[in-house]
Amino acid sequence: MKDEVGQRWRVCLLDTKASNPNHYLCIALQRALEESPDVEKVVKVDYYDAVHEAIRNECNLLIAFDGEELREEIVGRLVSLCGRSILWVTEDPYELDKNVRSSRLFDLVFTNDAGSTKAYGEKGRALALAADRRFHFHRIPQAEDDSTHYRYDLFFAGTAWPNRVKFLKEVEQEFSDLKMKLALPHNPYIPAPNLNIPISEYDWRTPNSEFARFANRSRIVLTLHREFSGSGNEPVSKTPGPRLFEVALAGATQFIDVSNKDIDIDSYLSPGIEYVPFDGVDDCTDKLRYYLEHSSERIAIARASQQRVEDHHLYTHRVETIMAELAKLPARQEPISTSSTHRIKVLMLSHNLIGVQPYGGVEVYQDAIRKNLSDRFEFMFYVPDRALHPLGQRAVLYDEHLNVVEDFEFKSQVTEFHLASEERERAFYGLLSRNGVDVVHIQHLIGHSPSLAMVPRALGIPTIFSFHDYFAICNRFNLIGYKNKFCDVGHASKSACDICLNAGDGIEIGSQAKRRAFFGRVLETMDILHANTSGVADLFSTIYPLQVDRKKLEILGVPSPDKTIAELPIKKSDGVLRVAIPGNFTRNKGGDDIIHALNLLRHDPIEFTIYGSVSEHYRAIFAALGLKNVHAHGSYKAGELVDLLSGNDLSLHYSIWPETYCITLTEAWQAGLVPIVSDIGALGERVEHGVNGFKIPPEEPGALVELLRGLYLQRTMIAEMSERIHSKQLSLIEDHFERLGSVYSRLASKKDGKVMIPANIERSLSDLGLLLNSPLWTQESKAVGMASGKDSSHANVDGNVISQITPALPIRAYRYLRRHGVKALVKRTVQEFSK
Amino acid sequence: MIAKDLRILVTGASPDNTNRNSVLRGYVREGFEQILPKSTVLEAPLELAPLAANLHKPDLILCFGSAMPDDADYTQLRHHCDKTGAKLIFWMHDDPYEFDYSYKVVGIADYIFSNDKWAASHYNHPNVHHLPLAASEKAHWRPIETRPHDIDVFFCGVAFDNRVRLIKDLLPALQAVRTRIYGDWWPESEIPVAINRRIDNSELPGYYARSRVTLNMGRHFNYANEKYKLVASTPGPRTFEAGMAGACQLYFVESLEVCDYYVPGKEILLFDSVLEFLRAIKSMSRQEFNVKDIQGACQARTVNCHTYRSRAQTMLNYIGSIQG
Repeated sequence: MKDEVGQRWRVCLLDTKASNPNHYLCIALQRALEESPDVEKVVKVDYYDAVHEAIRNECNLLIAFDGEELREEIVGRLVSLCGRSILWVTEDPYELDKNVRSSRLFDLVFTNDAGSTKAYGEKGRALALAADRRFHFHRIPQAEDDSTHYRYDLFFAGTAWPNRVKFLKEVEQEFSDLKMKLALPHNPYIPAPNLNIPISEYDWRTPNSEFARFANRSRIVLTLHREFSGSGNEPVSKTPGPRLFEVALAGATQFIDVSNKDIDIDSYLSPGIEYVPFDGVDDCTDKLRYYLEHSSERIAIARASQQRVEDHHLYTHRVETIMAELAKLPARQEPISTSSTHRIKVLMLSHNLIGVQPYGGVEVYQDAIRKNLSDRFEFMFYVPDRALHPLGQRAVLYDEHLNVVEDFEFKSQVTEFHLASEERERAFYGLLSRNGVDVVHIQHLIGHSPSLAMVPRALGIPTIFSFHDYFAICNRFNLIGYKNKFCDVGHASKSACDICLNAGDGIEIGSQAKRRAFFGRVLETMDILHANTSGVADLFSTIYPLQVDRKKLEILGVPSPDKTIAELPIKKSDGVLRVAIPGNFTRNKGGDDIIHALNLLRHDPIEFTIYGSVSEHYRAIFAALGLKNVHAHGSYKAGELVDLLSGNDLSLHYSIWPETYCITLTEAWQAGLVPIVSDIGALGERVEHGVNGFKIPPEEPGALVELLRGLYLQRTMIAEMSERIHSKQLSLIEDHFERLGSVYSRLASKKDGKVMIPANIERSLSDLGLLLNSPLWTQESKAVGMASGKDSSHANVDGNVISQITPALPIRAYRYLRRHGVKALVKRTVQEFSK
Repeated sequence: MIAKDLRILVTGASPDNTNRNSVLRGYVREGFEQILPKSTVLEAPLELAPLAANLHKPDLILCFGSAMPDDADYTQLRHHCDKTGAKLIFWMHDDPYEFDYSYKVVGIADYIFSNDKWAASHYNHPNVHHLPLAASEKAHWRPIETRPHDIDVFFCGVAFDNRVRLIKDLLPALQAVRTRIYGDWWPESEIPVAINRRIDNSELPGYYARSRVTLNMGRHFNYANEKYKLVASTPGPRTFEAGMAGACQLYFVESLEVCDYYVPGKEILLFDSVLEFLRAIKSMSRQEFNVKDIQGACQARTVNCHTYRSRAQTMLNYIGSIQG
């Protein structure tokens, strides 16, 4: 049997129960499917990765197995993706109501209970469960081996349903020397069994494979039916359960209760030949006595039943039935596509919106996307409410016009130390499914639980992650280490990271490993990783060599918020070299070094203008220095900078951290300026020394002074370079949005949008099987924090302090070390301890 | 014959700062050292494994232990294997009790070995094998005592509910003989023969050796086993350690897989009921069978079949590193 286009089946096999102690049945089905000539491959999936794997493996047949706890929002997607779909329910008639409700999604429904078939209408087919050789087959001894092979006379294992307990108690009373092995686990929903034997003898559990072995080592195995339903449905299945076949394949002689004539055993095993039927306790005990004394007859029955199962009741036989039923289905009608008028819906997961202070380049960028691509895409924004503290207590979903769609108040906090938050994951899962989001674009995770990044995968929603900084590598997302310098994380050891976080923030040793392990899994689930430059991608790739896969990478520089290319202004001929310092004047932007250079150049014919805010700290320094050739323009609005810069000759971008792009560099080029940059990160990568700017080492203000004085002497060369740069900019502006739009379209095409079940279901990652021991990435205290002046203890979700570090002694030791060196510290320590 | 130039790095599946069983890793290393030239076997904690891999240039990297801790991260090791062609192998030693964390290794392992047979069948991975834990001759072997035993019934382990229930059922019999039960969480007031005391791993074989019988009870206690609620089928590692120390084990039967490792009645004693336990104790008291015969047989079987050396050999057989 092949599908409509002549291909063999690529089966997506899903156990509908996320927690299923009988999952071995699904494994047995998987093995049987793999042996079928009609099947090309079988992909057994969990809920979390089901949609992703179905897409990746181009599955064309969904088999949903078990039926209970079926998650419609995911199964609906799978049905749509695979085309053909089968449900095989295993708990009829006990769960018939729910199973019938679920069945509407599927082409065919196989039920374990022949009596339930009608409830599914034309789709319904009866299909008994079966046995699996690898789990259940055991050798049957020759009759003469009887005494050495068998360990028990009578074996029964099963839930302690009241009818079973009563029966066993009566049998037990009939025999004084019968070696019985009983396993009767019970649960809070049924009465505790009151047998006349100690509880440890019957309240124990064994795996199904060992159940088969117990059966094989027992002369007789009892099968007693269940007469109990917790759901109000018909209490007895008309078809025997899997144990009939499992015990037979294990090579045991079965005694089967046939008091209920509705249960159809005889279609599967022949009475008297392949099993021993009994009706009531007396009949059972009489036959027990007989067959215990007649081992040859007993073993002959075991052999016959084992052979019958091998010939007719393995999962391979059931798969043959499934394939035959599939072949009878009429050709599938392709659903009418509704995608032609549908704008692709992109949800931006971000830390803020433009216009809400404090906002910066990321917010400007995401707003530019919204404005430039709104004809093809419908954008939504999910951001923490900046008005409410602590950040992350409330999150808001906005539509493309930045109107509030819905908001979410959270009970627990999310701090910078959190990796996961179940209530936030549930809210995000719910809003993604409710709003029919096609693509998620992660701009930034600050103010959210980082685990939100993994939620879209569960719904099969493709996701793009933009590396605007190094948050996915380190909590110190600018990579400025505890010595206030770039940590060079790409070449740093894990120990260096431990030392840095411990010394700088009092974070326990080993915490970074936990954070990286988690973010590694986050990046693994991304479909596209967007870096502005190859260098940034390389750095991420060094830390996450598996996850930052070249095939997933999209190198795409962030565009300037201002599309205009300024006319090259006629420069003043007053002999002064004018240098713009765009962006806020901060330490990370090189403030400490620039200020030394400015001081040295106070009498040179060079004028400097700072375009951006200057912090109080630097304002005080400038006031003390009284530099007459330094001017402060103050803050500017997004899109204004190109015009403002016009009239300057040079721009200075002297960051001490590896910027991931630096939009102000683009804007300086657009304004026709020649940039001077620190040779680090994207700045060093984008500027070609002497071609489109100049590079000097970071944190070397002397080099900056020398360069500026040299350039003052070569002003003609600067003007020529300016013209060259300026002409190149014209072709670069529109490119970004075109390419990003293509990425969105490509991702959305991976998500089959034909059927999206409107869902109002919320699930956390742990509901989907992804577990963490702790929602925090900071370890329980293993090492002593060395951070000075910072409380290194922090609270978990419930407000319990999880680690208390007493910093006094280590801090004193650390300060002593810095002041006096290692030798002196060792000497002093010895002195202290010998007191 | 083993490939002469095969090199292996034995590391933890979790960092040593959260690994309480790192001593077992030493036994695994010893096992490989007994079948490979010593210089080709290197042991390192997971924290140092990427560095060790660069220095040692192994063909096989074996991560032994538990993947449950959140800082258990194998990215760099997988990357190393991708670059060098080495195989990344996991030998999980806490199945099925931490099975829900197995998703961390399924996507990156070349081979997975599980200490538990039933759990092994539930890994969704093409190269999964069952490999029980074992005993170390160096750490666990003790001479069979010729002096009279000074303890009649011995058990050391955590008081999981199933064990407490069984001990309570056996209590009349246990109180009639010299019984010593050690470990954590025992309700001492309800079980007077139990003492909440940990016994150091190095002392434990001595207790096994000086006891007439050692009780063997399974564990029903999970940390993360909700997905399939798996029940262990393979006997716990102390079965082999006690065997190596020369214990005569009375094994409470919840799985018959134990028969794959020891011959009932010859190398180990099985019991299914309180009555059978009483009979066994009485038989011993009446010297109806020789305890020392069982101790010797169990120890010999353990030395021959259940050492980390034999497990290492089995693992290499599965991986195909043996040249015929």
